[in-house]
Amino acid sequence: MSDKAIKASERSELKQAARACVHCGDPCGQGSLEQDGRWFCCSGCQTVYSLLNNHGLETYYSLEDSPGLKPDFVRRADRFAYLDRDSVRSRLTDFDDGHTARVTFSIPQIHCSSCIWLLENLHRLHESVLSSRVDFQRRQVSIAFQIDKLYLSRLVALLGSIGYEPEIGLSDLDKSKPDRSYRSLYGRLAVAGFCFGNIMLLSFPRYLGLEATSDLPVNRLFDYLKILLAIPVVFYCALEFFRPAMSGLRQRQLNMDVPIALGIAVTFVYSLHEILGLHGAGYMDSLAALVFLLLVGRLYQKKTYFSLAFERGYRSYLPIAVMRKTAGSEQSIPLDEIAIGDTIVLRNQEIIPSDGILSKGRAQIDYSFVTGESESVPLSEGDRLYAGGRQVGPVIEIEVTKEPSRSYLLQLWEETEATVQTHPALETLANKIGRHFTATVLGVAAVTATVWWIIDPSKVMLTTTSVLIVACPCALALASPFALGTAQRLMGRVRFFVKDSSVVERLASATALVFDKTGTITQSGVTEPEYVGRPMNDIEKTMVFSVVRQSTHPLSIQLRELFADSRELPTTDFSEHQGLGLQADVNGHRIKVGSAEYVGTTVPDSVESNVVYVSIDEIAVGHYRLPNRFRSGLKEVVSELAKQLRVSLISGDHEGDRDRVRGVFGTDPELRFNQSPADKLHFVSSRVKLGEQVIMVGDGLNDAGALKAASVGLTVVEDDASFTPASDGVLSARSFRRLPQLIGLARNTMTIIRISLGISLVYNLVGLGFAVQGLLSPVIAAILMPLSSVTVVLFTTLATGYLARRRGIV
Amino acid sequence: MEVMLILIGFSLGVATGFLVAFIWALRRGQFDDLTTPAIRMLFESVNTEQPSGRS
Repeated sequence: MSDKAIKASERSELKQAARACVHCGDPCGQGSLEQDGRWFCCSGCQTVYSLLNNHGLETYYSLEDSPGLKPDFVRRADRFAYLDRDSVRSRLTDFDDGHTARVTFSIPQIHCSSCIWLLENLHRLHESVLSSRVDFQRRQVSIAFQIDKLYLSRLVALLGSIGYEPEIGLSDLDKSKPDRSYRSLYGRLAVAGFCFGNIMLLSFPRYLGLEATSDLPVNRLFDYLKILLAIPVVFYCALEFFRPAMSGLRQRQLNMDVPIALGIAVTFVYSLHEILGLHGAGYMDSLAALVFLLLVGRLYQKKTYFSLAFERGYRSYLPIAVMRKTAGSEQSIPLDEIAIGDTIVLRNQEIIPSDGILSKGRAQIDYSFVTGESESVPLSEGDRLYAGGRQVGPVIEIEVTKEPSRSYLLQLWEETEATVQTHPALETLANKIGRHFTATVLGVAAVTATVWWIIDPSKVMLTTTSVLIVACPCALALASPFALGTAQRLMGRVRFFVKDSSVVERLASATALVFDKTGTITQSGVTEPEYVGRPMNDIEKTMVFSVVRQSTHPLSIQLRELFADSRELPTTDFSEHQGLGLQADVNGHRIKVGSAEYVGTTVPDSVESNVVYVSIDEIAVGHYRLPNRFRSGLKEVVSELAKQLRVSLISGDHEGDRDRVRGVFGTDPELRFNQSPADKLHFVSSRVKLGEQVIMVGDGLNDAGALKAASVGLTVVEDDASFTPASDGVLSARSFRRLPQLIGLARNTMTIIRISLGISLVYNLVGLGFAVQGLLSPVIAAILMPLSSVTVVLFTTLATGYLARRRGIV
Repeated sequence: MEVMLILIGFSLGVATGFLVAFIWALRRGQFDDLTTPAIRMLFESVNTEQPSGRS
């Protein structure tokens, strides 16, 4: 049988046995359980089912198919004890009077309507829960409960027991108020729309040229009403533009808001002067239309993705509490209270909170979070440990040598912050143009005033103000928000989420692109191990599986997935030799799994990284190759990108893969291996200092510093719903191959903006032509100004949509 | 012409009423979460079909 045939038969076996667990949807294999005619994959899922069933909550299972999450019973129940400390409790709760309290938790696991239903029916599970409300977009639940009857730790444990353990990180302690800025924007938009519509209505007699025939007092009344309606537009709605203009002026900068604010102010004052002085009808309609459309543009630009946290720092990855060992007893304490010299206890899969020395036990530390190296490191007593590593295996004890805030990891992070602050913010195109624009308009106004002063001094006021009114860069200010906003929205459809629309602009101006390797261009989780050697029969495979199952080494875990369906045989005399391999007796046979020298075979020519050899009774049978599989389409993505950008790769991994990477990347791109997070950061920031606009594409864990230092930091994530590292943009792994198209779209968007700036300039020149001659009547202003805005809005939106479709993004 | 004044006043009054109602709803936080209520409103009907006691 060929290797492929073996794999195929294994997969079909898996399918036959697949009876999905009612709770979590995993296939029920060996050891599945049955209750009420429903099948469960493990006792955990069954426990949740019976718990919900006993409380009349079985609706959970009828809303969606297998909505549940596998509960995690392995970890200690008392690990939440620290939550009941006053210092922690008061900082976590939104409200707490000793009897009742309200707390808001982030639960990334929320994914379907069943989740909402169950979490909003928590009061049926525990009588001390008063009410709970889910915010699906933000993946949060807000719970009101009787804190004197149900401790916070018990509440968290309750959520954990049904599979919804909240994510409580160090950053949750310094909670900021939820963002409500959109409320004022909505309010301003509503008021502006209301006033705009009514002012237009009141202007109709004038548009139709009825002033001569109609009653004068009515017209006068209409004009006064217009003033009344324009007051909230200027003094409430337009604050959105006055404030940034003021702060820009204070910093001696002419940004885009300055000419807008100038135009609004001049239009209002001049219209007031015309109406009250009985000279004419003013331009209140144009003013209201302008403010309304600009506000729509602002709203369009303000698209946010609530469930994504773009601002997460390292702090949110560290635990809030650790177990401290004092005189034989263990106690859960908040991370802030760790002192140098304390002994802390770390269990399997827990993260080291601060630098220290291993004082007891044998550690197997997975530093992939810090270094990007995918293989874990074995350490023995007396060795130094760094914060951010994850213990894989048995319980260890650590003597703390540095406070968490001074650990290597956090210092690296702070170093980045310092670098980033010194590196100047990229000026947006709109602001750059706005600066020249303001100067030009003021120049034209001055020339007009001088010329008319010579021709006819009585018309100076009229012409100069008309110039300022008509030159108001309404269309100019609308082009960027609508084009960038549309691009941002369309990118979101293929699961590429950017923090704000300025990221689109920065993407377009990029000159270089740096890839991180592990997790970014390689795919984790779906790696299919490749078996080479003498075919093994089923019993032999089961024996190997039984041995591999005993180990938590990352390679063992990867191997285990190959045998997902196998039964487990009892093993005796199991031993694991760090960095070498494992061995055990199964069915009277000695099974060895590990490196070539450990197993006792000769090493083949290539020294590849992830190869696991197997021997039965000291006779080598073959080896599994566990490749870092590259993402599909990587080669095309790289060659496509290399046409437009300088592509390079930095990796925390060893050089074992260099040849394979070279095969994909071609001869040009620079490849760097063995890079620490600090190296990555320095590499990117040195490029930035040389004046390059660097896009860094990483996985957001060990390269967070580099992501921050780059002009645009993008993270590639397998599951955008549950894990979103801090960055400027999050790209779902499924859309990885669209990366060149997405950058192309960003570039197209900037071209569209430039074209529409040209269009609006033409309108402005026509208007200015009328204005400098003193011919700008309210009717011309009322037609010209909205027309230019509408043209620009339609053009940018449609053109961006069209180009996105042509690039196959929508 | 008087009727016009009345009509204008009336229309402005009605429109202002709606504007105030919108702002009131906005301040009450009715626009804070636009997704969950749309899902939540479907639960009630499920609940009445399968009434289950509180334990």
